[in-house]
Amino acid sequence: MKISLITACLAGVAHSKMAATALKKEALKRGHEIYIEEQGGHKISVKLTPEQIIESDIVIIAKMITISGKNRFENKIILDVSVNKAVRDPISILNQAEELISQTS
Amino acid sequence: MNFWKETISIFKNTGTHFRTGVSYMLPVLLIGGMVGSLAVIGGNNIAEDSIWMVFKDIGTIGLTYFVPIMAAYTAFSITDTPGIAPGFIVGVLAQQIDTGYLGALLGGILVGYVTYMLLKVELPSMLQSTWGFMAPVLSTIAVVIFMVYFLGPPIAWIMGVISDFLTNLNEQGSATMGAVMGFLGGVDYGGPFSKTQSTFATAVMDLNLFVPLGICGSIVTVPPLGLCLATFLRPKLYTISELQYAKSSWVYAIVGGFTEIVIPLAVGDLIRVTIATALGSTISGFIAGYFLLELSTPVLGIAQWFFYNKPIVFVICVVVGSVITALSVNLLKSISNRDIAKLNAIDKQINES
Repeated sequence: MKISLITACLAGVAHSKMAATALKKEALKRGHEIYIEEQGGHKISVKLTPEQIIESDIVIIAKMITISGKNRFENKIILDVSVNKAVRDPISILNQAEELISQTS
Repeated sequence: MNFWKETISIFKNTGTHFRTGVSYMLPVLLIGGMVGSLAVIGGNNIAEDSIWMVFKDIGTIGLTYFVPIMAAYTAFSITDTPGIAPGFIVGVLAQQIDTGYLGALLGGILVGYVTYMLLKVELPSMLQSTWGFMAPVLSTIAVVIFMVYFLGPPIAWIMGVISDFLTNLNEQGSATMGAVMGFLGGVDYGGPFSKTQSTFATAVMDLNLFVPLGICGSIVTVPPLGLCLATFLRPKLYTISELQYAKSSWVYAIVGGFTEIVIPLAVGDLIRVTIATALGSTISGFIAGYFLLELSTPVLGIAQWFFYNKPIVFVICVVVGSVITALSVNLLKSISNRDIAKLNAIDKQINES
């Protein structure tokens, strides 16, 4: 499946990056495709393209602050988690994501 | 019913809204602080028409307007774009009625909440189209009146007390403050406790107090540098993957200036590592506080090294804190019986699977 991942933390220096790396590693291990956008105060942000958002089966938002541009994900399955959980426990987040998708499809 | 549900959900996420405000405020503070610090090159008596005066003014602008920006984006976090303008106005007002940072935060939350709720009101379609314009105006009026007549005076009083207290701290007092901040900064590596002390340090810049930021700046280097040093002293006490993290952690400590990098080193042995880093940070903060170390620019990392009023004290804080962290973590680990070989084997298994 395809995943869009948004991570957001206070300064955008450490936590967002670590959460993104942890989830990416786990997702690739399970053979999913993943697109990543990181947000935060001092971040040079790379936005997800509209095509990537349309393609993806689920949007995972790992955040410590309110993300910008949430309206882009209307009508998508959204999984909201905290950044800290994403750093510590990416496995259960991906389990949750897979479960959400299998429920709705 | 819906009303209460949404109210609860907004106030339950108060922390997220605050942090969003802080996240947008940091760049403003950073620009103001750094440009303002450049003016120091111009010496003590800056001529009115020199370029240094311009720099100094920019610094003042940044260090003044970070408060309204924070209020604006706290409101933004609650109700999206319609919250920005009311939040900004309430933030400026909060400064003018001497409620500072605290008033701006509460005002931002309130105005965001009121705007959010007003926008939810359903009106006849004829009025609905103009409601988008009117709701922020009404919420601003309501919150402004509330701030000026009800919330303002008590907060201004509290801020006055805090400001007096912090301004008149002697060496012992600020050493105690340093120790407390050091403890908070050393226990959870960028989590809620650390953020509390760093937010406090940046908040009091609004009161022209720079010692807390000096303390914050020196304790933030202690956990990563200390753990890095520890792995060099006794590599046998650490697993292979921990050693690999440690190899790069000092770079992050010096260049990046954040403690999150030690999380991978800490999770394997949380209690012992936390005791050690908290101890090192507490002592480092104590020293910084005692010598009234000031940092007037809210940049952590490589840039901060140039902006201290007493660079030697800063170096002492960092060295002493790191050495204490390193020695105590190695001591604690050596009396435990962590089976490094077994942990290495598990790591290897995970990587191969």
